[in-house]
Amino acid sequence: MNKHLSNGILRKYSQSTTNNIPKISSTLILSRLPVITTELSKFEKLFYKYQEELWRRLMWTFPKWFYFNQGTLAELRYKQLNKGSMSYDPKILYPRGIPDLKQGRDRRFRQYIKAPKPYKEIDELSQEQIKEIEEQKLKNNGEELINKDDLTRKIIPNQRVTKADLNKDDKSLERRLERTLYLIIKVNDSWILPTFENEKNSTSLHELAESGLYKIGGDKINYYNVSRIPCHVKESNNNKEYFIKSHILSGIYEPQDKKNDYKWLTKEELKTYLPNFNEIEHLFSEV
Amino acid sequence: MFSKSTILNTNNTFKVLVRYKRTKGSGEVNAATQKIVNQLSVLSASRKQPKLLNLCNEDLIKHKTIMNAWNLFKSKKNLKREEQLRKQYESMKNAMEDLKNTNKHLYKLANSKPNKKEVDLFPIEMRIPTDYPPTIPWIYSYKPRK
Repeated sequence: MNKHLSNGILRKYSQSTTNNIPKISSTLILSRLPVITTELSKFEKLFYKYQEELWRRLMWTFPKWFYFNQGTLAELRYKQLNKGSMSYDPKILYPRGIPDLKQGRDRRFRQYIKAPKPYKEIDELSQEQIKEIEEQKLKNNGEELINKDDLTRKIIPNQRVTKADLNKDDKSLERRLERTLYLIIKVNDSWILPTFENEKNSTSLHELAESGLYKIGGDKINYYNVSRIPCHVKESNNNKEYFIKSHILSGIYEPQDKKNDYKWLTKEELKTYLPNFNEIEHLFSEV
Repeated sequence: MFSKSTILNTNNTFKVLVRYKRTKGSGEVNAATQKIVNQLSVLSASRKQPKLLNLCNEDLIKHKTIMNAWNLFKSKKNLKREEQLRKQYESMKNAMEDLKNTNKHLYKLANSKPNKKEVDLFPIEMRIPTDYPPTIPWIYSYKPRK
């Protein structure tokens, strides 16, 4: 009897709140993590340069006898490239101070070592050779002739700036490789983070975000959900948006409705697109 | 008589010391030992250390200024990051408290851990940023598992 009564009260109490049950929706912060390291500032570059020079200056002498056996061809090649400094002669005047040689190294300075290699650096080439290479480049669509099967070939790293950067393509996942990119979509002429409404209030927030993403962007997306726990809540007029974070790992976002526009933007660029940016600024990565 | 004595004399002077090739040196070791000595010498600091840095006062002040500037730069960066992390934690906590009051069921689901069947494994596709991009910066040809 008592139990029934309390149940009734509970039901009555909960029914009274049904009128203003907030609409729950989950908002997806889909990010593409940086592919390359961040661009260093000028100060950082100079500081690292300074530290490296100090470190090189205080390094031990290179133990040549350990790496090159005496009398071998390899030692001969090493010797041809690395001519030892002049030893001290009392008859000579030394304006930069008396040399202090030990194991063929002047202990006052850092030791520069050249390793034998099958190609020459630009500063080692003569003017004619440089001309020849440039002519070859012109013939070969601006690229140097390199045998890609050669294991001892010169290593040329890929460009940090991609084609998407040069074309200013906002929709490419290959733009701004050094920064985290976030997906925003255009709904009713305003840019928003993709938001999905929870109709029955029964599916969990992260599953709702997943199914919603597949619905608007196709299922060719490989993503990793960071956590099931929402990272932010935004309340407005009986609406509650819970933010879920995910990383896109591979695949492509293809809008299923061709009218829907989308963009991959960095934190700074989001500022001009999202109206409530100041509220959620801390959710986006600086890098 | 005379001739006999001379022979004796000459016999005495014939005792001359002869130098043969040296077989044992004072500092020499066999090849195997020499190899080990070479290997150990790589790890040893003897005869390989450069001269100590002897900075003049002006250089010392310059060095200290550089290090101070670096520490200041780093502490500013750290403060900014800590502030951001604090804000992120607060908003996460706030969101969960809010969810607890609005919908108990969703709160439970958000707190739940994945089943043994559907474990959220850490993705092996995730990569650490490198100094230069790979030849194929992004893989578009992903097909969902069915």
